[in-house]
Amino acid sequence: MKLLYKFIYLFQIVTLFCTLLQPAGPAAAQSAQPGGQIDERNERRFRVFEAVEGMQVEEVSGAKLLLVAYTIFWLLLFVYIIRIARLQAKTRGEIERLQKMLASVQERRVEEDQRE
Amino acid sequence: MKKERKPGLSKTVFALSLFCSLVLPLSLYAIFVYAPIEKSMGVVQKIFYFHVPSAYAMYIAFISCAVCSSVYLVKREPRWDAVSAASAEVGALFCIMVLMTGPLWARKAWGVYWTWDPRLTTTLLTGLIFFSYLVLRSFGEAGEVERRFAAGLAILGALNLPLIHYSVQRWRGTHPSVITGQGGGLDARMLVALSIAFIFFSALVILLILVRTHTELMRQRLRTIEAEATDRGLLENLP
Repeated sequence: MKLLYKFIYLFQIVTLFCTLLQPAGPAAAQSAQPGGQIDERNERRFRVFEAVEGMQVEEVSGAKLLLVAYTIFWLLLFVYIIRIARLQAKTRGEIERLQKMLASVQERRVEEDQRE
Repeated sequence: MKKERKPGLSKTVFALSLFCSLVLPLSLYAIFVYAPIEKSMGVVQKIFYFHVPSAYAMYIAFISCAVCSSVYLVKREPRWDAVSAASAEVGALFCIMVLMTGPLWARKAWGVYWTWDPRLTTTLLTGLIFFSYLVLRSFGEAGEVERRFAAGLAILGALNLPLIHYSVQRWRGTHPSVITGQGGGLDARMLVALSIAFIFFSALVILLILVRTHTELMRQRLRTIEAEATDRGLLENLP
């Protein structure tokens, strides 16, 4: 049994070393590929931030934004309605439970009074 | 024997739910089929038909909250406090909707999600005041002092509402003002779609306030039963 534990510890240490010695980052992963072709643009992005020249036009899909907006709207509304429904059910349940408990306590007291 | 009123949904709530269910498909048809696509912004402009009525619903809820808070401060009747709390919560919901759908539209229209435009800033400020109202009330069971303080906060928050409305006219920001008489107006078909959306949102906000008020009144009833039982010593020997 002790031998098995030793073997497991050894295996864990070897795995840890292998993980640490692995090349890190996307650039290193690419360089490890056969041929060592590194995407120059990706590599540059890790090392330097450059200012854009001229007007930068970024295309954002209006349909996607519309879809996200409507999804948020309906999601919020449904979550709120569910929240109210759950709160109502919980409160109603508590009222009923409390009323039953109070009724039983009062009955018990009446019985005790009659016995006395 | 006095007939006890069942805590179920009232006829008004049922009628409003039915009305909303009927108007919603009509509103969606008007928005996505009948109303034309806007020339410069494209399809993203259709956020307008939910964004603006949400802001309008927020106004209704916050005004209701402030009015009921004022009545509560005068009369000290718990039912007014219940309506006030319900209105604040519903108003906060619509405020979140406005503050989330607006930036998505702005991303396409202005190129940024957020800008410190007067209308955006005053809306955020009002929202924060009412969120603090809800936070204040959520500290355990709100006592009389907390309720009164919250009522004052609601009145303060409602004072900001005209500021939101007239901020575009006073401090010319970047926010569109097509329906405040300052801009070039709306296409006739867009106006129809917007009007139907306004009708839907009016019914929806009233419906939500009614249902939430009903829940709040139930909670008040529960607290009253608990307090009475404790006072009479009935809860002492219970498991």
